[in-house]
Amino acid sequence: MIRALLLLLFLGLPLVAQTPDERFSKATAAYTSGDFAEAAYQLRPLVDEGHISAGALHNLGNAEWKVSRPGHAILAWERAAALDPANPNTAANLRFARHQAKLGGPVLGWHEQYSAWMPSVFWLAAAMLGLWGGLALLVMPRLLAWRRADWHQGVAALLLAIFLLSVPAIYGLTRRARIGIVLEEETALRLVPAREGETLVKVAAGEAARVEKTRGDYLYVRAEGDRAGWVKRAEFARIWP
Amino acid sequence: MSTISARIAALLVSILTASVAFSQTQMPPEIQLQLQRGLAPNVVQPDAPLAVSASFEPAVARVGRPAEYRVTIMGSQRIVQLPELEAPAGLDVMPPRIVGGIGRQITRYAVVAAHAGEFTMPGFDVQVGGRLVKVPPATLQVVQPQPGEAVYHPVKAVLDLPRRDLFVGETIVARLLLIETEDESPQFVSHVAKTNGAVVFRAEMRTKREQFVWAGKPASGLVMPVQITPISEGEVEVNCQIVVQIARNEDGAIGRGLTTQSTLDTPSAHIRVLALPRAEQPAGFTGGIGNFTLSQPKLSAAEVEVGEPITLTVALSGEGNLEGVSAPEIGEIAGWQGFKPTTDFQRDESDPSMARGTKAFTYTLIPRRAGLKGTPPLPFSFFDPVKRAYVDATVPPLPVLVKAGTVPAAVAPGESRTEAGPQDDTPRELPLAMTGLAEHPGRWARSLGPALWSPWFLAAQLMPPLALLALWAWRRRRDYLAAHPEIALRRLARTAAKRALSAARTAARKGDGKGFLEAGIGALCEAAAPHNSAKAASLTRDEVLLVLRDDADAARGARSIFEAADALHYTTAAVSPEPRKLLAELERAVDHLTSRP
Repeated sequence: MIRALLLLLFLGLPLVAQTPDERFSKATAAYTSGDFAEAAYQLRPLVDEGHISAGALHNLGNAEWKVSRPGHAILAWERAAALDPANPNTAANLRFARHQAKLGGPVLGWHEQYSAWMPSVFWLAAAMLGLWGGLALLVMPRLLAWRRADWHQGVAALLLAIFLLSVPAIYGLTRRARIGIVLEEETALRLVPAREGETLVKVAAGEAARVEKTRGDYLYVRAEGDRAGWVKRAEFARIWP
Repeated sequence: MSTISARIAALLVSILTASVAFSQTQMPPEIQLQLQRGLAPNVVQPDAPLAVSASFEPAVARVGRPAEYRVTIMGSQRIVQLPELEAPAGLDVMPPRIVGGIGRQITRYAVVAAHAGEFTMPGFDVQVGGRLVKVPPATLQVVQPQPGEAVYHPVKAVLDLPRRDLFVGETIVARLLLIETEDESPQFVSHVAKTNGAVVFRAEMRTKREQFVWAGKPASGLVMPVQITPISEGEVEVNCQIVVQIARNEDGAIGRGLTTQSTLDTPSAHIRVLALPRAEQPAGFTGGIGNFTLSQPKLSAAEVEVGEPITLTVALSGEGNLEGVSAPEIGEIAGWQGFKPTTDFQRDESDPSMARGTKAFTYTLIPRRAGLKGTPPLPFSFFDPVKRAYVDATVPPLPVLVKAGTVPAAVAPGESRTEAGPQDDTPRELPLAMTGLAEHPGRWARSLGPALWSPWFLAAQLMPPLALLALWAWRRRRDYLAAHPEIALRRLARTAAKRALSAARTAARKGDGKGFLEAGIGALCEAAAPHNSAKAASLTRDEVLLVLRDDADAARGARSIFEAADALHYTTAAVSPEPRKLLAELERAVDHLTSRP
């Protein structure tokens, strides 16, 4: 027993010791050699452990698509796009996958589309800097008895304008946090949150839907065309978990 | 030598042939006949007694209801051959069924009389063992059914079509229903054939006993899936004939569990066959009609050299005429040379209707120039009969890198190697394709979503207002002190007095009288300075005592300190002040001065 544990520890040490960059490179090599399942196997735990990057998610999406898991592939690409909205490759893959699966993307309001122009970190930083920087520039010259200058007013107005421009984006971010992707094929939307619940409609893997409420192990989601019902948590994942 | 061998062989063959001929001539004819029929030869005594009888059961039957004509042979020898029965007119005789074995054989014919009367089955000869045996005639009385007597319900066969409007070439799965009645029950189907209709008719000889709804009523019976493919447009009438074994449920004459063979005809099923809309027929349509999905195509390699073949496999799955669908040929396209694809059809065995399946097409492609980044799009489409529209299922280009290699590339006539491809000025819609991998992971993050509601973000939002608030408070305090300088002076004096008093305490502890007195006078002057609007260093003893005039004890203490200091400085006699005694008075005087408003 002790020997087995030592052996397991010995074999497991290299895995533990690997950095996220090394694991990313290993997955890339597996993918390049055509071993897509191995690439997905390497990248899934990396992301699950909280080592998240746009590149890793993009490659995870590619690997999942190659092993015929379209729902997981679209989810990974959506997450990569959330981190790096300007990446044309990820956007192209999402278009490609949805074209192949004959799916539409999530229907976004104008504020949600606006928020998708930049990563969420950018909007939060812009809002913080704009609000507090603008207020500080208005208040501090008076408190510190600085000589009044025109640039104080100008920069304060600019910063407050940045804050006002970031407000709809932040609202869009809060709305987008409800969007998720159906993971499994022929996922049933049920009338009640129970396994025995009547199936109202079935949705395809990769379809986008919005979470409206949760109850236990079930989420009430609404997909395109007002198809709504309860879905198991395991069959659905939010883009921002 | 060879001649001798040939002669010996001919001799052996002739001996063998002669022996067989002899043995056959010695064999009784009935045994020869049994051997020819593949039966075990009947080797019982040919002279054994035989009892032959014929009868109808029941002897009196109803019109339209089946009865049974039985020929019973009691004996150890088997019936070799049955003659054709010469049934009387109006009596329908079904094919026979022989039951029993050694000792008794019963040949059973199901008969149905078309009208009332007396029917006599004439006697006939039957060969049993090695001899002919006379079967006696038998008579059946047939009477009209009694008023109110239930009508006999035979098994009914119908063709159940899922739809009546079909397209030419479309394959649908219909159900052949053999409906059980209270009088008869179908057992198994031995043959099905189409008798009418311009359709391709294919029956799966697998039946299942099911309960179903027919003509709005629940029913049960055998269900057999049949595939129907119309081959010409217009109104088509389809019917078929089924040979089925039927068990009659009536007690008595025939008994339960015994079956007879019947031939049933289905009523005509009318279908309307439509032509495919030819005007909208897209590229890549090869006759596929149904509800199909195209699987993700797979390439045999991600990199290939010019001239090196790779295979591209794509599978079409679903329900329809999959077996008849062929893959479109592509020939030469966009720098690739394509060959006739091979196909492989797999039926979905889990589907009881046997209508579903998967057909895989494997294309062999050869790149003809280096630098190509993807396979050519493979046009493919099929017709969806439910939507009544063509579905474009073109296989998109797959990423593959074509490198220059040692294999010489084939060059099509009229095409140069250096040309990038045919120039086409007309704008075209480029097919979508999956992109490659990200080479770098990018910045690693710990979470995906916006940090809008995270505690650290909310805490960070408190910092700027707190800082501004503190700055405002500081500014207000500063302005207040500027407006009231005496407060600042008093605070400074109090601080300096405390510092000097602390030094005096230290000196007192050490017994340093001179140090104590200097520090004590400093403390008194610092404490008294705010009350005199003068600097501490410039205050005299009288000015300090003047400030202390309202507290006689404090003034007395201060005076004693000043006097001790004067004595130390200005007398020649040895003076030894007692700092420990003076410390209490000093503290009282300083406290009085610093606590004054």
